[in-house]
Amino acid sequence: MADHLSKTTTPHDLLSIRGLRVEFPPEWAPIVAIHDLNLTVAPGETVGLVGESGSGKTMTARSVIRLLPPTARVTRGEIRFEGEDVLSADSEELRRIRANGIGTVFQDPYSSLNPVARIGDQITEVLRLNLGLEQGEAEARAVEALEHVGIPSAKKRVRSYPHELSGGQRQRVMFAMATAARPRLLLADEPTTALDVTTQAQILALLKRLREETGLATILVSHDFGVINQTCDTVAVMYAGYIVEHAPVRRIYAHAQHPYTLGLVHSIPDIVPPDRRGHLSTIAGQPPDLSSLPDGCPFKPRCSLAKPECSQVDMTLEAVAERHFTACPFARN
Amino acid sequence: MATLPMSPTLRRIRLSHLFRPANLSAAVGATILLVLVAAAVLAPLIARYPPNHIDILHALQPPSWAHPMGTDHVGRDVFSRVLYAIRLDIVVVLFVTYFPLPFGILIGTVAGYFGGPTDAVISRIVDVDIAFPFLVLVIAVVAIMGPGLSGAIVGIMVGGWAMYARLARGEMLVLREKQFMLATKAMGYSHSRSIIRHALPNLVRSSVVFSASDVVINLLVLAGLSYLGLGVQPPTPELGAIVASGQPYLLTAWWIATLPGLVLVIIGVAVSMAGDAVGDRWGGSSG
Amino acid sequence: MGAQLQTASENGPGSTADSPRPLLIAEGVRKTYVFRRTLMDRVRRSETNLLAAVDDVSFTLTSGETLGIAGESGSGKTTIVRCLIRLVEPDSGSITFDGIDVRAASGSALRDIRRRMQMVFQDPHASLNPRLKVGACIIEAGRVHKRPGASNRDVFVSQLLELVNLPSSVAEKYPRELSGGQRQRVAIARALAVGPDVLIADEAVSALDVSVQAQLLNLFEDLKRELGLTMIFVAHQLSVIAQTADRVAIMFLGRIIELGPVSVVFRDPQHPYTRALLAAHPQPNPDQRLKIEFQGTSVGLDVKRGCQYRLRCPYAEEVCEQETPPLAPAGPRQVVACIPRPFARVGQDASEADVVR
Repeated sequence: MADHLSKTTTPHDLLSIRGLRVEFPPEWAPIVAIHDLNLTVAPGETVGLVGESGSGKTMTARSVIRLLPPTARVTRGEIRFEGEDVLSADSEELRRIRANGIGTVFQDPYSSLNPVARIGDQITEVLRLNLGLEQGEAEARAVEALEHVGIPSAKKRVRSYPHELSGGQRQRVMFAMATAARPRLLLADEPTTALDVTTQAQILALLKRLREETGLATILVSHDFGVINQTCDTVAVMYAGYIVEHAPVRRIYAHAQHPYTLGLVHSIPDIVPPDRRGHLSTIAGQPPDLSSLPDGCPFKPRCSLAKPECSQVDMTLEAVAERHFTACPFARN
Repeated sequence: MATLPMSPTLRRIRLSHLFRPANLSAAVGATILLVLVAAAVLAPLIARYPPNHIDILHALQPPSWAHPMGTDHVGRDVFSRVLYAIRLDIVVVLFVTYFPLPFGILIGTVAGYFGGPTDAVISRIVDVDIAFPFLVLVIAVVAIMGPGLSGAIVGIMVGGWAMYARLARGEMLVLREKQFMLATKAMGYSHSRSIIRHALPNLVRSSVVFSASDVVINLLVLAGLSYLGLGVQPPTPELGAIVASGQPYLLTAWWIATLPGLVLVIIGVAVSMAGDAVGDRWGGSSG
Repeated sequence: MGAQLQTASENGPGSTADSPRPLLIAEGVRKTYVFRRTLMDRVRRSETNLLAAVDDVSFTLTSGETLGIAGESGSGKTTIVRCLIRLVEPDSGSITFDGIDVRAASGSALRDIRRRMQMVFQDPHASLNPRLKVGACIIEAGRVHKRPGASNRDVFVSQLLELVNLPSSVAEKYPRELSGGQRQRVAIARALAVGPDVLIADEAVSALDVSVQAQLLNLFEDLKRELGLTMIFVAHQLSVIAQTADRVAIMFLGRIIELGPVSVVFRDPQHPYTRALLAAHPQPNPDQRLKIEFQGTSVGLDVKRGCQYRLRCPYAEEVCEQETPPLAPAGPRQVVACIPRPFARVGQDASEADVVR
């Protein structure tokens, strides 16, 4: 762990998560959603969190702004945003971080917007409360924010209700709200999963533009490797609450080291001609049951390279190449 | 467009935490009900006196060891009367609530399933029945059938079935669009199979949850009718009737009217508490 | 294993693998939904507020092939397949299955059509009756359609579970005890229990994790081979279609705008929308970056005449507004509904006769 952290943490990191552990209270059976997680985001960097059900990727993103479900608890670890401790921040500090420092976009644009409020009002509310702007100035900024995210006729659209917009436009409004207060970090949790693929492409292009124009750092959570690889600089692959591999995007695609990552990459169907397609390689078994993980590596039951020694693996990330870390000690080649 | 499945472990956790706050009131409610049912069943054994045993010499006695709830104006032991009254009330109330329930659910389900003219006709009938003030409807039936327990029973049932039909119809309209119901059509299953085997088991929950409050309402209506002299006829003990018989003596022999009334309240509260717990567990959409 | 389960090839003349006659023919199918239509709209017979979910859709399905239907939300792909088995009643057009007029069928004839064309739905959480155990669910299907072997419940159920790679212990479980992938397998087993010729997968893998999705796609391949199934695969992800389908129909706003063999359509798409779809697909390979090939975001609903896609199309011309483009030949067994044809191959003759729709 020290190895991974010291090579990737600098004092100027925008966000650093160290040793994060999130559990559901041990009344019935202790369920650990995140085990000892370490992650950093540099200013302007886009980090992807990819994984399937139960991987803990959404929990990780939510931990950053302490938006966990009421039954979950952070039992260990430290999260620092711009040097400030997030986990022990009081309510005022936390509010400030959420308002000005970190913007959030969730998956479902249909329920994230208030259906009975005009979208302009929803944005100006964010601006007035969090930046203390006057109504007139906030309204101007709201129109600007809508234009910025590519909503046509923003001056008119400001008065629309959410149901009058398409799914893609609603998601753009979410981005407008999240970025209106000029945050330094954006948390995007499956922002395009509910959208058509053509709309998704436009939103991803928007995300890219926002990053380039404002130097916004991003944590992008997705189950879709394609989305991650098209938008992120580095990616952390998660399984059963652990990061099992962490590398620049190019290396993950071409030189994945961890058996889970390899399995995942090869099980994605791609657009290939029929004569070149065959059976997809698959990962045997089912997604993990967090309430009964085996000792050592949680991927062992499904891993084609499993050995008896895997039950003693402690899941620390070790470097296999420049900025490329994996938790599997046996797959390094 | 793709939604992610929630990990089965997360879902289990949520349910168990939901269950916990309701535990206490559910336990209390259930216990009280058990005690009441036991009292009703064991009435012949517990009651010291036959409920209609008149003993003028000991009329209007305050509560004592011999008569835990005192005696009424003709010397009958109020406690014994109350025990037999609980028996009658519980049996009758359960019957009038749960006998029409399956019919109401079936009618509502058929309306929701077929839609169109079938639904229109059934819904209008249901609407009329619900719109009628319940008590007025019951009294009207009693007026036709004559005062007495059978009139009260029929009257309450006539007024009560429609709510279940409406609940079931609403749920059916939602259920109809669910993919497993579409699947029954795609599999070529008959309408009756789709309705009875597939729809109904998923529709009963909301009606059962509602029936808890229905039981309480019906109990009060029954007691009210008997109080008015339109339900159970004297000398049959029924909680409302006993309250009525104690009314002229409210200032002097308060126990005759108030203690059975208290029992009524306790039954109602217990049913509500137990009903809430069931509602918390089962509430919300079906399935 | 195949002894008890009647395979598709035993079902009738139109279903043998080497028969050239199409198993299913859809012709001019139309389904229109009405919304917010006022009395004045009706009196004036105005066409506003009518949404053509499926608008003049025609295609054929040959025995043994897998036809992919791709499109985004609002394309009508789910509606059209539901029309095939009359889960949704089409307003006009004809659907012929193995020579039988599907729209005119009723009673036991309709039930048999529904037996022979089975559907697997998208949502693994909602497609199974939560109150029925898996085994009960499967055996019911077998018994209602009087399948041979359904009299022996345990054998029947465990054979089907084995077909979908589930252990027979699953038969005693309720759907809520199973994972999404397992539930979909049960849904497939239920569909196979009645011995269908055609399996319609309506976004059947869209709601699953990637690794589970791969398992299910492989399962479909195995089943097609073992049972001689014909398939219609509805999906919004082109990669999934590319993995499973022989031919693909691309739908947009209720119309098929391109149709042809997967190898041809994906390698050399002729319609601007198909191009846009392919370009928008997020490649896992980070060196192949996304290209956006269209403008605008809103899609008009009131476009009654002309090409539906023209509001977003960078190649639209005047003629696109005036005429609704018909599906016309564009290559070997490929048809496309586009008049300007900006990507037409040089030397292409529109009168190429070898067109199988």
